[in-house]
Amino acid sequence: MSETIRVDIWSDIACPWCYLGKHRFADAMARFRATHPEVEIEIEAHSYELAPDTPENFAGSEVDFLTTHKGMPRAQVEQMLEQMTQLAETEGIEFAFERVRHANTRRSHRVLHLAKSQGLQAEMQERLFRAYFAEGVDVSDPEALASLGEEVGLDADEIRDAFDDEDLGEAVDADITRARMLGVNGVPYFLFDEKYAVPGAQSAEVFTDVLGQVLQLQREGE
Amino acid sequence: MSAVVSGEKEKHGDEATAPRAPRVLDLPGVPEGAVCGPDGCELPPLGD
Repeated sequence: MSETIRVDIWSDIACPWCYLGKHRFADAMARFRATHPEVEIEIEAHSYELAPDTPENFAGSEVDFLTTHKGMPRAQVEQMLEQMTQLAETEGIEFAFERVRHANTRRSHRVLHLAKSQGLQAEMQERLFRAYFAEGVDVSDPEALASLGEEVGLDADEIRDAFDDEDLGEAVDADITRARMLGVNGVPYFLFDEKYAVPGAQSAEVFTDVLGQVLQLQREGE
Repeated sequence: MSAVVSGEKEKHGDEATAPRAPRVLDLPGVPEGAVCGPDGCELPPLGD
């Protein structure tokens, strides 16, 4: 009989730890599969908005947003982003915060739900992360999203329709409501087998250990 | 680290769609991971 571990992951596109966490978890899955090739891992990504109050037409950098909207000292913000950039580089991920255009991510989440319905969610999420953090793409811009979606195999007109699609909007809201019910107050947030919550961008080693623990708990019937 | 499970019995009819209150349990040996929240992102831990 095949065994399956279900993993639900809440994240936002404008979240550097989510981008790192996605890669670390992918690394962990590869390690786990090497020793447990018989176990399926079923992943579903969910929406979370870190800054839903960001104006849809906000025009500014990450530094601008954190200093003007969050009131953080500029020097502290710049130090934080520099540290994140260096860490990401060691893990093979490019952060170019000088290019990042801080954006409301609501439309991106609608596109992610459209991609989910077509089995392209992981690809779309990866493309959005890279566009946001490395390429300076405005991920609130409908035409930019249509273009990014086309790159991963979505239809551009379907993406344009997604921005007015009530079902997709409700899907985003449902994810956020469920996160609230789970007590999520930061992302990324990983939920294994709909029971075991592991918040944060853990190392690949920790994620691999968690997968092993969850499998063991399944086998013990917990 | 925590685990979340449903703390309620199975429901039927209209009750089945009502929000379920999660209960938090522990999954041992898992450290706190870095997150971004409404007020910003945690810094990389020292030595990471």
